[in-house]
Parts: sequence; C-alpha cells; structure tokens
Amino acid sequence: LNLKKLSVLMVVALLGMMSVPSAIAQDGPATPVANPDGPLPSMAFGPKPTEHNGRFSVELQPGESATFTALLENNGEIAFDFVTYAADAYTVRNGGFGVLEYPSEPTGPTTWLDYPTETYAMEPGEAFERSFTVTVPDGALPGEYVTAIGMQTAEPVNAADEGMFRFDQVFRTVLGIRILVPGELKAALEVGEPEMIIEGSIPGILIPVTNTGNVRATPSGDVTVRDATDDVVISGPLTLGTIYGGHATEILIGLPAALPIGDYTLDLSLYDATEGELLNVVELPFEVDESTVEGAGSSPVSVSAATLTPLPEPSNVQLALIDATITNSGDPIANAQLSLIVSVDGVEVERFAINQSLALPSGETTISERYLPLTGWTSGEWTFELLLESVGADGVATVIDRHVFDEVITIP
Amino acid sequence: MKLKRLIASAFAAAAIVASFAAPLALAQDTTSVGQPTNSTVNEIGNFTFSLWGPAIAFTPASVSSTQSQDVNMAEPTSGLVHRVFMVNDNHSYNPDGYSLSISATNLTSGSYFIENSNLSVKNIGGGPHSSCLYPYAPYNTEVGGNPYQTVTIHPFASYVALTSPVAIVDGGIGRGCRNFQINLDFDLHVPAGTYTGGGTATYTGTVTITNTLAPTP
Repeated sequence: LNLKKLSVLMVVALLGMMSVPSAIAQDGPATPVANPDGPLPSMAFGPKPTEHNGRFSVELQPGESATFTALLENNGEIAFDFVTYAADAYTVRNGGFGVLEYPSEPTGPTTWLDYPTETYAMEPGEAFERSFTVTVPDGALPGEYVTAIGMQTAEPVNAADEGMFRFDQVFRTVLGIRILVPGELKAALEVGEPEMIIEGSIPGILIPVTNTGNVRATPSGDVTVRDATDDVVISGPLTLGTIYGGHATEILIGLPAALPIGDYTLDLSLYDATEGELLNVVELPFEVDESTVEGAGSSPVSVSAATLTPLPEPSNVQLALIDATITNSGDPIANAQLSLIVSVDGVEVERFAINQSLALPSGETTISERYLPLTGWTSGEWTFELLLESVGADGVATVIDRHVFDEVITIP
Repeated sequence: MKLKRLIASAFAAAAIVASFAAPLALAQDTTSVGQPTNSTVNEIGNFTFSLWGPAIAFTPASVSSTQSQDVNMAEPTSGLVHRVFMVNDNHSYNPDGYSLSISATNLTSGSYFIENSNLSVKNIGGGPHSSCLYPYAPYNTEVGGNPYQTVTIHPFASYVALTSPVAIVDGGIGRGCRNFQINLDFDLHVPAGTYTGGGTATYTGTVTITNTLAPTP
C-alpha cells in the first residue's frame, strides 16, 4: 500500500515536470553558452520505438502518406536550445549515409516531409514527441528514396576566443528516412575519370562514382593501379559503404605519398551481395602532372641504402644476402611490406616476400635477409629490385619506394 | 532493487496519465506538433557523446612544419595532450546502435576562406576504457543479460581530410559498452598565399560531431 502511495506521489511530481518546451522565436533569447570546463549539451533523438520497428522506413504508393513520430530529449546536464529540421540525405565519400548540415534548402524527397524547422529551449531530462507526415507525390517513379531529419545544438558550443584559425563545435543526431515506392528496383554504378588529388598535404586517388539505379548498393571488390611500365603501384581489396540509388559520390584511396608524374591506368571491379556485379572497368587512364603534385610533400619513407652480396663468392653463388636500410622521416607506419622482385634475362621469375608485416618507426629500420631461388640458380643474368609498400587499414597496398640493385649475378 | 521497481512503477503510471494529458499539451503549443512524453529515447539507458576539452584553435605555436610556402599546423601543439572524443552508452539494450562521425565547414575570414579539405583528423589510438571494444569480448557479461554491443573504432592509417564526414566509431545493437574515449589529433594545412591581414586576420569554422542512424541497418 505504501508503495502505491509513493508511486502516485511520484506520478504527480513527474506530471508537474512535464511540459512541451516552448518553441523559440527567431529573435528569442540567446542560446546559453556552454562552459568548456563544465558539462556540454547533449541530446537524444530517435524514432518512437513502438512504430515502424524503430526505424523510419515505409513503403508507399504515389499519392499515399504515412505518419512517423520522433522522440526528442535533452539528456545532458544543462539547459540548452536545440533545433530540429529536415535535410537532404547524400552518400558520403566511400559510401555511407550522410545528411546535409543545417541550414540547407530541402530538395527531392525531403520536400515530401511535413517537418518544419523549430528551435526548442529544453531543460535537462525534458523529452517530447514530434509527429510528422511523409507524402509521396503523384507521379513519383519506383525506387528507394532517402532523406533525413536532424536535431542539434541550436548554436555552436565551445567557441574558441583566441588563435588565428578557430573552430567551434556542433553536436547533432540525424535520423535517416527510407521511402520505398514499389516497382522494379535495380542498382547500377558508373565511374568517372580518376585523378590524383592533394587535400591539404594528403595525397589520394579520387574516383567519381554514381549509382544510376534506383536502389542502394553496398559494393566491395578490388582495385589495381599500374604505371606506364605496367608495374602495379597500388593494389588491394576495396570495401565501400552504402551508395544510395540516384546518388553521386567519390571513392578515395588514400596514399602514403603522391604518385610520381606520369601516366597510369586503373582497374576497378565492384560487387554487391544482392545486386551481383556492379562494375568492372579496366585500364581507366589518368595522368599525374606537375600541377597535381604541387603542394605534395615528398615521401617520408625510402630505401636509403641497399646492397646485394652473392655468397660465398660471385663465381660460386649459393645465396644472395640482401641488406637494406629504410629511412622514415615521418610518422610511424604500422604495416608495410618489403618484397624482392627477381628477374632472369629481364623476365620476372619470382616475387620473394622479405617481410609482409613490417613496422616502420620514425628513423631507420635495417633489414637483412638471405635469398635462394625456388628453381635454383639457372643460367642467365639475374637482376633484383626491392619493392617497399605500405598497407592501409583497408588492405590496399601502395608502393612507397623501389630500389633497383646495381649488383647483377650472371650464371653461365 | 525495491527502489528500482518503485521508480519503474511510477514511470509506467506516468505514461498512462501522459497519454490523457497530450491533447492539452498540443493545445498549448500547436506549432511544435509535439507532446510531452516520458517514453524517452533512452527508456532503458542513455547515450552521450562529445568532443571534450578547449575549443580547437591553431596559433603561431601550432606550426609543425613548412613546405615551400605552405604551413602545416598541428593541434594539440604539445603532441601529448590530444582532443578527447568521449562516448558513453549505458543502455541495458540499445536497439539502434550508433555511428559517430566528424565533419568541418570551410574556415572563413570575411570574404576569404580556407577549404575544409585542409583540416584533417587522425585517431591516434589509446584511451579506450571499455571492455567491449572490438575485437575483445567483454569480461563482465551478466548471465541472462543482453549481449554487449560491438564497438568498432575506425582505424586511421594517417591523417584524413575533412572534405567529407570522417567516421570515428560505430556501436552495434546490444548492451551499451559504457564509457570510453578516443584521442584525436587535428592538422591544418594553410596554403601559400592565404590572406593574413598582416597577421590580424581571424578565420573561423565549425566542427560538427554527428550521430547517424541510417534508414536501413
């Protein structure tokens, strides 16, 4: 009985605390300033869990409407102003769901939403529901459409007050909305011309890609870049995030250093578990010229010294001893690989892995390795080249440096 | 335990009353299309995130290197104190997970600007306090409790330009992995020829931390 009484008391207390936060007029009170040394504003924003399985995803014929409910909450420790709005969705670089930053002009399926922008002053713990409708216009073509709503701090927080270059911060949560207009659905990818770019001082290969279909795809596959001599300079698997139907985005392959000036070709194949083969292009040409590499620093990593010694003596070779010094004047590289490319009479006969998991700390790293040919020392002129590659977190290997040995072993 | 039941009971009762109170609330504020609720986003826990510490700013002391007439600036300047990205998911069950990314606007100074591609970020590792971080299994799984979510901190081989949003960390569906932090470093490349106003120009921009719930899993 006592518990019941206490429950009733708590209900009364809770009711007293609950109220819809009042919308703030455009010229209303300024957003409270968050103290960078104190609590920062925080929000929770999500679909009402009991509706649509907790996600804003619905199938509608042209002319039909659906209603969604979003939950908004100040789950921080301080009162703050939050703005909620609708915004266009886009596919971010390398795939994934992105939402334009506030404020932006709604276009496409975002105009199908009845979700006016509003700013609320919210107390800690305050929460409320906001319902809105989505209406597919007559004549809309079949396809999977995506858009979004967002909630964020109404004004930036933690603004810097010193320094020539200053950034303040915005915290936001965005919720994707998927509207499926039934009909034939198909994903299809097209790529544009690749190019090497330097962003800031960071080099990369940028490949424009468009999903010309009307449904999303999540591609994975392989990429290979060859230089003018047909040597592979970049190779490895490629795993992308979702590319939504009708969206254009970019694939960026980060490079540890700019490619040398010259002509290159790119092979790219992409597949999707549902859609099957999406793309298979070979020998897509691109050029790296002087203007491209302007501003790019030179590679901080190089094979600074290397020798190859036939043992026990040149006239009676049983093995070759390779000694190399790799100098890294930049940040440590967690994963590199070093290979020895062996050719006989100019034809590559073996690619010998000296170290496939090579950590390169700042400074010098010394390598010493013996080489014995798989086939034995057959007749001919043996030449050797060291190939140093960095391996990114995505598994893509990029050539950092090559070193051609002056030493030649001639077997009669 | 009694207290927990008591609070749960009170909230359940409040939910019933709130459903009757809703029309009144709507009448009070017809423009908001909102109604009060105690059925919050975080009924069974809470998820918070922030980029902790002082605002990101680059001063003359931030200059780390020069190449030609370009200047690279590092933040933090000491190389020891990093921006701390704080994450706390204490849901007993998070049905949606989370996906946190960081983006930046261009820096502007009047009509002059520096493109956001010149600001880059790097996850320098360290600092995770949670037992849930991939690929490690949590050590404190409760018998009969919800399985823990998988948290994946996206690996950074090097700095990544903020031309497009950069994914920092994802949390999967499941029991929240509570507190952990990720150390981030920022680098600003100031191109040669950037307007300085004789050293008096001030460039400002905004860094946005976004939690994205995509419309499909």
